Amino acid sequence: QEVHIGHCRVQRAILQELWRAFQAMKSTVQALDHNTETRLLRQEFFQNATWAEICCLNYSLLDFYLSNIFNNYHTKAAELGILRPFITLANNFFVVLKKLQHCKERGMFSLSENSERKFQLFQKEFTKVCLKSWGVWELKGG
Amino acid sequence: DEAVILPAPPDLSVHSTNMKHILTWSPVIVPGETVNYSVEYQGEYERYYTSSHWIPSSWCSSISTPECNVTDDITATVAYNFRVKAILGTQSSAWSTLKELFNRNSTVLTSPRMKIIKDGYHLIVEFEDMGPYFEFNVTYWKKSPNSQELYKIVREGGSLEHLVTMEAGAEYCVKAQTVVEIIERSSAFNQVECIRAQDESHLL
Repeated sequence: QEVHIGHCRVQRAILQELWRAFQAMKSTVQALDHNTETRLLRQEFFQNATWAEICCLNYSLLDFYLSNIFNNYHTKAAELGILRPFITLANNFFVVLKKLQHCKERGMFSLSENSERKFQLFQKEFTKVCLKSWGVWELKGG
Repeated sequence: DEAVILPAPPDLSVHSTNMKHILTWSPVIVPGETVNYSVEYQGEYERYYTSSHWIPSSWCSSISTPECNVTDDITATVAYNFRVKAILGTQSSAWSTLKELFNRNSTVLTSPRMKIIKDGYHLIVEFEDMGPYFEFNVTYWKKSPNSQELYKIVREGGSLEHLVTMEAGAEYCVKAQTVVEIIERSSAFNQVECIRAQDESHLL
């Protein structure tokens, strides 16, 4: 199916490209992830949200992932042999981000207080996870 | 012997038809020697967030022909840049890059090759397999006064698709175009093809 976020449409074909890339790297990445208690994105993140809020949260999340995750793990992805699906995800995230950017510039959504709070919650969880993994890295004499 | 100064491969460009993308350049000639080439690329994400990162092309890390099929490298509808360098022994040229970035939404879409078949009274259509991105928008109608055009989307090529059960003795026509949703474009329609169903008596 397609994703319609207000007037923004993300074609089925892009979602299929994202899904294929995700499947190609999922097992490799999950095998390395020993921290399984923390959930960054929760079900209620989007519950009762307006489409403008969903648009906004998606925009913030995509921008966050592209700025913080993808550029820090590029070399690691190459080492793990998953660079191709990794950059397919990154570039297709970038396609969706540009579509949402287009909606944002036309004033279709703005960061409401509620979504701002939700996104800060996500960032706090992410920082916790990072600190924990750096801690582990330190203990192992990384 | 005096080290040969290898020039960067000139005239880099991408030729793309039906979502198959071929990067070509002019060869670097060194008499009596075989010059190899190495190809790397960047998507818009890399250019925007990690501009120092270039990714080795899937198939062209050390090739001797001045062309590279980069179809597998282009996996998003964003602007890509490519660079190529010449390699001779331990020597490498400077990188040359595209004058204009390439986006797969500029690919040339040709109208589809189509076969229409009648199996008894059944009108069946078959398209060539053009790869995972291609669907086929089929328009068909019975050739008679004020007949109505009907439409069908065929999701993939290389398989038989039943269009309609024909009326005895009637003539039916079909035309089609390719649809590539990921770049939000379609080809021109192909040539209309018509076929006549057997008369009723013929089958008794």
